[in-house]
Amino acid sequence: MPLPAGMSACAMCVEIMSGTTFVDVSDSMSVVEPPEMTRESGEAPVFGEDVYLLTFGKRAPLEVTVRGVWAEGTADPFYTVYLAHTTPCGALNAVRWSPAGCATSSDAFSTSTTNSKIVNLQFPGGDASDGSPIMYQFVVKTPDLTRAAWA
Amino acid sequence: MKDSKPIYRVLMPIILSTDRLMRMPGAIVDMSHLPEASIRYYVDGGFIETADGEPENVPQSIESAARERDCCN
Repeated sequence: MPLPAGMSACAMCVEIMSGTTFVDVSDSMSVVEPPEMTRESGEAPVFGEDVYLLTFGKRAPLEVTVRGVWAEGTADPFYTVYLAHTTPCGALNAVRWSPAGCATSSDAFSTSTTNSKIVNLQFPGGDASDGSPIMYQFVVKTPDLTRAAWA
Repeated sequence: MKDSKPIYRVLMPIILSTDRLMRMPGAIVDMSHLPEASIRYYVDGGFIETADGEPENVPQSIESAARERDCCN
């Protein structure tokens, strides 16, 4: 059996929603933590069986955590995220990432484009003993993740 | 060669590189930005199907959009 065509995140493309369109922010984003998609479940043992009885419910909402490198200037994606989060009731804000790049036939994973919002924003800070780039982080909550293909 | 634009119905979510927007199953899209070989890739992969004669972005009928609700026991 041949080895699968694995890949690193070297060419990954990350986009965030700005208004009603997606903007490529790959130059500013550093980490997309892999979200977990889970389904509610229950279990109970019964006397008459050796195994547990299982029941299944709905898929749980997902949270996608993204970390970016902070830079000065209102053109920086941080400000897009900040404005979306501080808009009264929160503005629609989706995030999308393509491990193989934003190119034709590549896969993309996207939060809902109709009902996902930022639920947590960690502002850039600083540590005098640390020479690393200043980072910020935001979390997008979504009812579902969609897998799509670039075409 | 057809004079009309290649029009297709989306079967699986796709992101059009022309406007970077995602099209969900049922949407009617224009794929004229792609060469024929690339369109064939998406047709063979089950992402799209031909929808000749249908205007772009025709909304789904209520009957075709309705789906049976999953039953969670």
